[in-house]
Amino acid sequence: MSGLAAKASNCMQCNVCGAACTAGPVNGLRPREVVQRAAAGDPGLADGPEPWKCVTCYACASQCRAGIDVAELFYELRNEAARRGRIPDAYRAVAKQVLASGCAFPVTRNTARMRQELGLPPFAVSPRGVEELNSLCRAAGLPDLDRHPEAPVDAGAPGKEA
Amino acid sequence: MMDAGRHPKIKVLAGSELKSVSGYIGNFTAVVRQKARMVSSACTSCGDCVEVCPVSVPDEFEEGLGTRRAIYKPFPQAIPSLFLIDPDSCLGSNPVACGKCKEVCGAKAIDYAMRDEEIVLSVGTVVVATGAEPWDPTPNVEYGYSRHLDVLTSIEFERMLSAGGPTGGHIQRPSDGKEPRSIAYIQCVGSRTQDPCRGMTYCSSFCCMETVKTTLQVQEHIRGVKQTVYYMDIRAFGKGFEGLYTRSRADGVRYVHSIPSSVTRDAAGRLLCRIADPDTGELREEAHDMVILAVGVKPRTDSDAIQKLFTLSRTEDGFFLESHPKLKPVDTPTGGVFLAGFVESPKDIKDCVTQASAAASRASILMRKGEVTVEAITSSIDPGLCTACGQCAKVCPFHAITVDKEKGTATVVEALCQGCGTCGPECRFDAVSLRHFTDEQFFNQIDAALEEEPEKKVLAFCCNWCSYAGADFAGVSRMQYPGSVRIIRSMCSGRIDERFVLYAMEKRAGIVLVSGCHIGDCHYIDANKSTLTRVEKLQERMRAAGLDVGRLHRRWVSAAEGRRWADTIQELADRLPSVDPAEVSKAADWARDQRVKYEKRVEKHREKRRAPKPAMAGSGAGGAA
Amino acid sequence: MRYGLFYGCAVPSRLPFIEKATAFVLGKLGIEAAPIVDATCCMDPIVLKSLSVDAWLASSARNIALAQEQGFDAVLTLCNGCFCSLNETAGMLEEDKTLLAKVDGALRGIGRSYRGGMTVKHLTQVLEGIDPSDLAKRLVRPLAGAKVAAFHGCHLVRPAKYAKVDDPVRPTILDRLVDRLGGVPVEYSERNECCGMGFTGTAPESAAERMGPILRAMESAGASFVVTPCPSCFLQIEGAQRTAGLAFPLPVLHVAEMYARAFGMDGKEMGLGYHRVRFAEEGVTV
Repeated sequence: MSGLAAKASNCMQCNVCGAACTAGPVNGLRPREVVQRAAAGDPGLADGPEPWKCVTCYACASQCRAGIDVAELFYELRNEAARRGRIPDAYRAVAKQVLASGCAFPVTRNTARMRQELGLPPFAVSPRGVEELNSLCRAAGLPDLDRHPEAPVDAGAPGKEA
Repeated sequence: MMDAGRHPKIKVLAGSELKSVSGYIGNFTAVVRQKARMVSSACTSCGDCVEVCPVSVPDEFEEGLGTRRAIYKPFPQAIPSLFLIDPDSCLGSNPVACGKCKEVCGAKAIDYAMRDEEIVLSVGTVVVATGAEPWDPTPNVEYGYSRHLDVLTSIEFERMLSAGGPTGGHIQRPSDGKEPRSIAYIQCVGSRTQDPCRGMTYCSSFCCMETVKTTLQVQEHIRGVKQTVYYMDIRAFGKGFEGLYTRSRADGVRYVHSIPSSVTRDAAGRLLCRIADPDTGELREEAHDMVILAVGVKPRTDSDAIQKLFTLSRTEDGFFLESHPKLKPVDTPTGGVFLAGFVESPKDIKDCVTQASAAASRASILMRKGEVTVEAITSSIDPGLCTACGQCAKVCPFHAITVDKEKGTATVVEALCQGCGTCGPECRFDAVSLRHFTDEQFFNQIDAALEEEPEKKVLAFCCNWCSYAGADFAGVSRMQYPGSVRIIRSMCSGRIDERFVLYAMEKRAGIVLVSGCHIGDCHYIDANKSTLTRVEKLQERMRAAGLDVGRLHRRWVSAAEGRRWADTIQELADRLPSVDPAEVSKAADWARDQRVKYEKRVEKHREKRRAPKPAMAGSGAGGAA
Repeated sequence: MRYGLFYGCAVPSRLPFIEKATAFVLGKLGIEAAPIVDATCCMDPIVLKSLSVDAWLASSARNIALAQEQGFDAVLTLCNGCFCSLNETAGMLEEDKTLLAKVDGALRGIGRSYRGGMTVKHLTQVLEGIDPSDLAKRLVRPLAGAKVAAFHGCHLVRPAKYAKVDDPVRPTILDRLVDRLGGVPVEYSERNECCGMGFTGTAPESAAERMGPILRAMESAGASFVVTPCPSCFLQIEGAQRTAGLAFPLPVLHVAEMYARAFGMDGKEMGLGYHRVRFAEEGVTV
């Protein structure tokens, strides 16, 4: 049992996380259920859609009476899934973008012009920065972004609520 | 309360503050400051003054839901049944300013010149029943207590339900005065949370049943009212409580196992409680006319002052610590001082009354007897050797040592001394001894414990209340741990002089363990804090001398932690084979040097004082040279 | 105090006018700040941290290490996401020295080093710290009673353990900033919701929809514009206007822009024209 899962067993089932969750109304995320399953050591939890439904707003963790870092639990589960190559496509794309350019949002032609008109210097992460970032991520064990799982990752599309 | 006020042998000092307490069991002197009422006992309680007083301020007793005048009676049943003037809001006697109450008072009871009085009381015993404070839900911003008028605390709602309260017992929404059709209760506000801004970690214990009782009362007040209780656990553990809870549910009160994340107000002025459905987890908002926050309690903000007045201990929660959780639930570590009510922990009325009766009985046993038998284990100080440096007095948790700089001696007040022996190790000149736990006894025990193969032994110094009891518990639970441990018991780990540890090193003990109660659990208030600093200091000195500090350990083991004790000994015993004999010899030489230095110093001091050397029996430290 | 300005990526590459407004405000306040050279993305607290907490931590720490190496006293961010990443990283490394040693080891692998001790601030904290008399001196265009909806977003105040900017459940720091410029912060029910950016990775349709009810709540509370401390929230607020079904579009300002205006920066110079929802000079009582 991981540290967070062990802490999950402190859950008092007050359900305030569910009431605070900003993702639940959209994609049916039930943080209490995830905490319960984590505490029970459910092995299928990381590979299911739940971990990716969280929007990391930390509202649950801020109100948790038992002091459980619910949001960190989601990160832990996502990391576990990612190690097995289970990464939603959009996450894969953004991560590749970051590794390629050093930026999650690179400058577009439109915004480059906007910068020029505003009298701001051109913006780009320096090649040195990009290179250092890549070697850091490699060393720290960022999962292989080209490894794909056998089954597609269900990232909890909307409409699950109904 | 009235009975207490009228009782010939009970003196009630209302509006009073305890300034200082000195003395000890049977002989306390308390200085009390009694606040000026500005109304003498000539007052007939007719109430004419209230009618003319032009000042109106929020009424504290009504939780601010009503108002009172500057001249007022705190509450109808207050004792003494006299009016009093609140100097902060009174306009004063200057005729230009006001003085109306004085004009109208037929009994001529009003005296603006009255000043605070100091009263000195000689008392034998004390019951501390200073209560606690309700949790103020302002920081729980999600519930909007300071934004929405119709969010009340349970205490405010209690006042509203009282026939003598600000609304005459009518339940009204503060925002529009209308009778609510739907009331929500949010449980555990200020209780059971790990967020210190939002409350306490403990269960305040009375709030569940307070809410259950309130729902039943409200059910009688408003026909067809809808009531919803949002809870995480309903704790209905007392006599008749489950029945009351069942009745409330049978009466149609909705109990929802879900704590709301927020309370907001909609355009129509209704309060929306946002919850996740307890079964499906689906999020929804439920509208109510009023929301009652079932607030818990926290220790009084002036608990520090009370603690100092009586040298009491407190638990981690901040409430005062009883002498023993099961066997001495109303006694304190300070003789003659007892606890009753919320000051010890949150509880309901019945438990408060039970505890108060117990405290009164415990006190009256002492009072009736007129004398007290103290434990024979007390410290004494040899006036011939004492230099009145005051180090012993500094560490005494009970302030039992008085230092007379002029006479050049310190003396132990034996009625105050509880026998922990923490004072002894502080003395540089061997002037302090603890009866039944003398230095000599310890040295002899060390000798005996390390008689055979000392390098293969773990020598453990254990305090009587926690670690020794923990070891005992491990034994009666048939837990297995190595037999290489030798235990020496002291009343408190604070008694363990570094000389004992050094002597054990000199005698080639493989590993030395000093074990006591967890910090905060010490049976002698905080004497184990001295243990902590002493062991750390000695480890520091060992390190400086180039010695292996892995041979001296300090562990806290409580009476219930048999497993921890067994594991600790197992762990230390496992280290024994790796203890290097050369290291043991090196440490033994160093320890011998330390002892010789100490003995020389004491000897020199003794000669200087020309104090006769006390007769020593057995080998002890002296025989080891 | 000399700040290492951390622009991140959303500000310089999507909303560069915020960068300009920030420079103006800091200049007016006489706060010393310069961009951190060779900085990368903050290391997105949603995407990167989701894939590997270790990689996220090391590369986020690299940005802080650069600030330390370049002699800055603290890092200043304009974005909730950047603040969350960098501040949480700094906080985690401060409380866990073993972790710090591990991360420092990783940084040494690329010829950098971090020895701890840096603090990370969000611009809102700096603005809240302005002395009232200093503020009064610089205030040339007060909000004059304009009703403003303050949208805090998530990562400014959470995770609470590290953010410590304001109450994590119901923050009001932006409301206070509006109030200090003479505006009236409006109370609206959806103030603590997520802007929807968190859904873009897994449910883009919901991402766009999320902002609708929030904007409608702001509108019915009578807000004339929205202020936010975060470029991600900014993009979401602007993006959702068409589908939100508002009677009038609701312009949005980054908190730096709100202060730049109040300190007298010209709307044209500020680049207000680049806003997708036009912040009309005369259309709003400012």
